[in-house]
Amino acid sequence: MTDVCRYAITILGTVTEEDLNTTSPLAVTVAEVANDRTQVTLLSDQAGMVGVIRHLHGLGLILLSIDRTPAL
Amino acid sequence: MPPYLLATKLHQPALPPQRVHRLALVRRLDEGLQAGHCLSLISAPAGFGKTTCVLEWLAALPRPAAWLSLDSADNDPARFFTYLAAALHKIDPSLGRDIEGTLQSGQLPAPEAIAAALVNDLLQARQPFILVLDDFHLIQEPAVLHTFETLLANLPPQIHLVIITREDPQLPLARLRAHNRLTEIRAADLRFSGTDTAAFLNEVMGLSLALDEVVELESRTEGWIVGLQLAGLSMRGNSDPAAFINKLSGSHRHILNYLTEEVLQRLPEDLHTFLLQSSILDKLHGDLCDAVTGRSDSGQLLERLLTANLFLIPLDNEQQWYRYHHLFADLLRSYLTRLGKTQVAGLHQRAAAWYAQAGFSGEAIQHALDAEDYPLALSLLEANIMPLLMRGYARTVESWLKSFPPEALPSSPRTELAFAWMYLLRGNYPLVDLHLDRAGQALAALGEAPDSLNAELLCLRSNLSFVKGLPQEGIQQAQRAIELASPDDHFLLGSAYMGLGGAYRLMGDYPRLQHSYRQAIHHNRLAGNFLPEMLAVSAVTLSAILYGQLSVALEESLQAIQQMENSVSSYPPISATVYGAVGLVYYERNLLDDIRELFAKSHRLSRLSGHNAGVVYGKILVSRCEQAAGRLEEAEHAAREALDLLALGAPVWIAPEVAEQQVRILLARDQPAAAEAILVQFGLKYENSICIPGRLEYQADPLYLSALRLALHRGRLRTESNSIRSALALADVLIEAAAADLRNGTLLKTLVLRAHVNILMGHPAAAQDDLLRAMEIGEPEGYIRSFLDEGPALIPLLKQAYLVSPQKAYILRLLDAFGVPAATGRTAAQLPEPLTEREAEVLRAIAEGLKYEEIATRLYISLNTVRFYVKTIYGKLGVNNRTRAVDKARRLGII
Repeated sequence: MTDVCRYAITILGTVTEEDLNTTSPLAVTVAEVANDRTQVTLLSDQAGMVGVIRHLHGLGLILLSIDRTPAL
Repeated sequence: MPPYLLATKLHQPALPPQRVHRLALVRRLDEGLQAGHCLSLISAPAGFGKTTCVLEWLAALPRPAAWLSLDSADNDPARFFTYLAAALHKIDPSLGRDIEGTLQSGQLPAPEAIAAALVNDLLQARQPFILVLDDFHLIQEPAVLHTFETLLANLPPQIHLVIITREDPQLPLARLRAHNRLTEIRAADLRFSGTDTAAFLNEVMGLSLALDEVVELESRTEGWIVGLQLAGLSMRGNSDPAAFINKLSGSHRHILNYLTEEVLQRLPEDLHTFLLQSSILDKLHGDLCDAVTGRSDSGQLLERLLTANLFLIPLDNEQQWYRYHHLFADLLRSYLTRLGKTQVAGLHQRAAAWYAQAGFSGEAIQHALDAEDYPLALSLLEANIMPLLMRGYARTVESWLKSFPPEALPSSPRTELAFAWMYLLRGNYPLVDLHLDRAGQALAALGEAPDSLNAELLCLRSNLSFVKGLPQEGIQQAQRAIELASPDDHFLLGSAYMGLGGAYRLMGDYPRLQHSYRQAIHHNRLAGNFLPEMLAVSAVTLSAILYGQLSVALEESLQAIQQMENSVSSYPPISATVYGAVGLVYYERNLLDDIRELFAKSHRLSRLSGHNAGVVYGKILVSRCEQAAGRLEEAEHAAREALDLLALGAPVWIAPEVAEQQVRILLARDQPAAAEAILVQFGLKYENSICIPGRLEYQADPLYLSALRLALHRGRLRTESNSIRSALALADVLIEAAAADLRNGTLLKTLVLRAHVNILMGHPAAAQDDLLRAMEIGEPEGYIRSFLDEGPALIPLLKQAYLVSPQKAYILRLLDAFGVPAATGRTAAQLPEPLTEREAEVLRAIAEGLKYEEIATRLYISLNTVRFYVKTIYGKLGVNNRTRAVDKARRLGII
């Protein structure tokens, strides 16, 4: 919960990094765009990740999955 | 602070005396502040000591802080910003007054307007300060978040914002981070290190743990402070701490459940029961807990809990109000459900009764709903719905209503009428109609409905008839409402007279409208109903100006302003009209010095009110001022803005005013064709020249006056000979209509314009007659600019008039205003109206160079009274600023 991790969030549709980051609480990076899906990554603790999820939800995006791996 | 606000929400919680000092975190917050960061974000899950960390920082900071503890009810924007304004008041009572006034009047401005007003207010802060918003994760309402987004982007340097939250808020923090304007403290920073853990358990909790036990406990709780605190409580008196620690494993939630059970089991029965029963309360007070639990020693129990470190947080310095740590409260509530639904409902009912008696209607209704005691909830709601809606808590009320099962919410005329009032004030007229229809049906279902409810329904209908432009219906409804209302029901009578005044306003019946609106002012003042009172004052002043009674307009406006400035509460943005009316009178009297400030205030309040009409009108006034000062480009800019804003929607009466100012500017730019296009666009007919309609609508006076100015302009250019003849015909009709209806403002302006027409047509005697007649109307009211704005062609006539007219002093003032040197040799005794002793005293103070505030202090009068004296002095001396006043008074030997 306290550790900073790498979260990979997959969203339905194609979204640009700029669109996502204009009003985001945390900067996210678009890692992959394929098959009408966009995967964004962020390095944060859980509080930051939850904030980003709410932000994406607020933008009307459909979340498909979230993966968590330890930050290097 | 208004009594319905919970002071505990604004109180900075007390710092626990026994704690682990977080020096590194305090230093980091300090460094951020020094580096000019605008925001400190403390983001971590519950139980990491976020609040304590900020409290420790603030305790050592030589800067005041405003604190606001948020809860989920603050997602209602009206409630959020009301509390925010109250928090700002604690730093400086003048901060947040405009917003508070708007919300108290039942209006909810757009997020941009609130943010602009907040930024404007914060810029006025006399000292730098910190604003802390605790539990910000509870705010998910887009309107509030959007306002904060704008606020953050424009935050004045005097303010540093601290957000304490369990999750990162939906604000554009990435941008702040990129620009190095954000200090962040997160869970990894807040978690206790091994040293912190040892200090906490052995020094704060009074245990004697060995180093390996401390390391093990820190590892199992991951430095999570609440977990450590619970573990410490569980281990008190435990002979084998190592074995206890070994049992701890799993997630934070699991540890929390396990440890809380452990702690509760160790408590004496009375304390255990008290904790469970009182957990239904968000805030704890000895008396409130007594009422809920049926005990008489709750105050002492709360002190015992505090001493025992049982997650009780004091909310005030007097230690009367407390709250449980959120995590602890959540768990207690889940254990409480084991007691059974009926018992829990009883606790909520008792809490509702206590809150209702203490005057906290919102909390009372919520507890009644939690108890599922719908009759109680409905009776509380009906008793309080008007004040709640007037405070702007519409969303909260709507969410309460949705909590009722349909069978428990019979159609309530009281509730429907309250909603109709709210939508009337917000200008949402279709919804007013809808709720009035429902109220009518509910009243019919009652059979013998009380007169007061029927009267209220008729009141609302009459006010709606005014909006719809139906005067006859409005008169009937209002008169019937007045008959039905009890003589001491000033709220109803005030509202009914508002409807009646509106109907007479539509009919152009000046004496009756003045009488009705004065009655409305009287009754609303007695009812303490500030918003309709100000609406009535606005109607009286604006109609007085239309009918040429500048003194009446000024007197009413100044009286209202005086009352507002003396009032402890804020004033509603509708008061923008009152400031605007004073500005209009000063404009007509050519007292331009303070107008800009008045118009700016009027404009700002109008924007906040969200009423486009006020904003449009404000722009017209600014444009007129700029033009009078010779700044045509600025005037053009403001007039264009007024025109653009008009497209967003405004009442029909305002469009002619916009057109009139447009035409003035276009004529000043020598663009008559464009001016004609504007008049056609706004409804006048041209076939070579102006077509005069059979019946002149008084609301269109500004258009007819503009048509006259256009015709004069063309006549002067000699481009259209017909134009000037049709102008004369139009002036004749307009003068006849205005004189018949006593619309002296229009009459005077038209006479001045006809004088110009007569000059142009070579009829000097007729021109002289018009001028003398205009001066008869103008002198008692101090009109100057209506003469001045039409150009200098009147100067020779004025000079001739000086020889024959008894209005010599007035003529000299007009000539002065035209820039014609005044006759010399006059003395004070020759002033048309000598200065009173008090006025001379004020004038001498001005000559000494004293500021208005200093004059007020010296003469023991209010600032407003000083302003009033100054304006009167200017009027009597025929000047428009203090330098000229002093100069002229010295020349005349007055001072």
